[in-house]
Amino acid sequence: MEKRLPPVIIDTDPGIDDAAAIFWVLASGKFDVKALTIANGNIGLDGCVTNALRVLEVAGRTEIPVYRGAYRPIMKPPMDASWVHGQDGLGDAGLPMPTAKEAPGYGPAEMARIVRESPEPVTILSLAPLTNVALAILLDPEMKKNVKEILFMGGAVNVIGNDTPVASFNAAVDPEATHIVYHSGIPVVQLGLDICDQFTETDADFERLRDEGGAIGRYLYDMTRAWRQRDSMRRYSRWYKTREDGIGMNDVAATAYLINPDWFTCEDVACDIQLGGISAGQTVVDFRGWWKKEPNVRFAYAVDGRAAVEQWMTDLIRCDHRQ
Amino acid sequence: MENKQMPLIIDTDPGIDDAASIFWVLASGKFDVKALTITHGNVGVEKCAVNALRLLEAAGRTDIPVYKGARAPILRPRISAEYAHGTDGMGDSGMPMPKVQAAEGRAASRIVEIARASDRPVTILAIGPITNVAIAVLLEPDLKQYVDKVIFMGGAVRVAGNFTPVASFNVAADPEAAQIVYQSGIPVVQIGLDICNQFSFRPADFSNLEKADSPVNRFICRMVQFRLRQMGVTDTESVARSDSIALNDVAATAYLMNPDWFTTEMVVGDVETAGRCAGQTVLDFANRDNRVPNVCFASGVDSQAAIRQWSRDLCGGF
Repeated sequence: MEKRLPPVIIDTDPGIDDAAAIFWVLASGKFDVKALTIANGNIGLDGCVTNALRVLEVAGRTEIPVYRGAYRPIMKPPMDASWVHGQDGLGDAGLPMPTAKEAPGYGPAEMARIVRESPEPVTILSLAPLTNVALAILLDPEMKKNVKEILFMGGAVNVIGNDTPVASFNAAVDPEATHIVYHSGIPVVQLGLDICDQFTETDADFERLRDEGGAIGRYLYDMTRAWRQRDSMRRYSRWYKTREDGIGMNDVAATAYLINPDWFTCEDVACDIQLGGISAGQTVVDFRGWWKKEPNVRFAYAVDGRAAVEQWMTDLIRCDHRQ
Repeated sequence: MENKQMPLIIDTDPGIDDAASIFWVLASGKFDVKALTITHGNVGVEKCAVNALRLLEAAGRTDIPVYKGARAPILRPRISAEYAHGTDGMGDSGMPMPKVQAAEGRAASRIVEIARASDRPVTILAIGPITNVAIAVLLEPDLKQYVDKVIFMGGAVRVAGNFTPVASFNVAADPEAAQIVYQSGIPVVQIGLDICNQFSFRPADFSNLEKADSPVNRFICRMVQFRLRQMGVTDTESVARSDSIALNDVAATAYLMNPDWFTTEMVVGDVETAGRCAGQTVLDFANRDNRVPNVCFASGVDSQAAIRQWSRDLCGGF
């Protein structure tokens, strides 16, 4: 009998880079994706739900349930980043509208149920603000016993933020949720901007996907077209020097850890989340041990980004040819 | 005859590195030092005032008035740094007690009066928690007309803090005061840990001072001996293998001496006053909100040139 694949829930707010990451998880064939739970983030919640369904349909994986999650952060009004992701959140690239429907149920409740029912500990790949994960923890305190780890695309420690000078978007959208998750006792791997800044997907990469891949490759090329051409994204280029010749799809960087942790260098640290003030959502790491706290976070700070991007392309192209 | 020296107020919490800085300013002969205004900081304000008087006496400059200032931060309980400066703030090195007294008047009021009376805008060298300057800002709405700039030893941007993971001591000691000064309209030159961490004083830097024997240089060497003992280092040779001696205020004073040693950039800056990150200097290099830059952030320095000049001035100045 075939070996059972490790169970994964993807919490996501698709989002161009979410799409690129979800395609990769599915294309790798290495995981049993139990559900997509949808967070408010890159665009409004309705749009994110629709986009998750669109992504699964293009991937031919409509059997995976899509659950609608929290419509707003715990303490703040909804935010959005449609300025990055286009009006429809997927680069306005004409991805077909879905025929499948979202599954009934609330994202956080379904997440807690799936975790509780799973015979093996579940990995949560969190590519969005952590509201759903925090609510699941609040709903079911027992949940933490059966979560293997939370892989979180968020945080900024030794690099500047992309939402405020000191905070990353996903942590700043819902600092309180981030605080709950980081102090939940569940192992958290922080795959934040320290890692993401080391990833670049170049124009040549997307041309290769378009030319050598199939539908997914072509969609990714089209979805990222405006992003790749937009000058406004270069305004941080004094710091993001590696981005002069491409874009950085942060959710792909975080997903790389799921695919192969060996690409990464990490340190276990005590990490707290700033609540309130102009630094809200900052991930503060106590490298000197002032707080006398046990490590609660595995902080990823170095990565072979090129190796991961090459694997990402290889998996997508191979999957496209199977379809 | 017109005084060509730059008018200067030193707001300070002496402090071993404060002493090394104040001596440098006096030795250089380049500044018209209007006053030392004293803040809580390394130790309490009373001890800091005594220390200021002690070092002016050693330098033979008791003509410079010492004004006592705030004994506590604007909102928070006081923190201090006896761990780095000894219980007396001067490395418990047995320096004689001063014969002179602090002058009449409170530091913040005197800062305003001196600035208003000066024929040119004054420069404030702030090398402690910045409570006094903040109160001066609150006292006089037009203070920015009378102050050329505040050179502030504080902040940490691309480096870790030395009091919390994200905050330097002088900012963490009074975050509200720092935010008041940063938003005052007075240009703030931030000489923080990004700069101070690039300064490393080595034993050879002090052996020159020992040779040029004078009360001031003996003063400095005795305090440095305290710092060495506290670092668990007994002979000067082993210092070279361990961390160097931090004299952070000297780094800020170097900017006063010669800004050309520094690489700086005008940016928009705030000070966090809430939560875990209180006292963090938050600089928005992308200027997301299109504000007028208020902070001259120093990121690079030729520290070797500065230390050479420091040593030369001290050997020749007293």
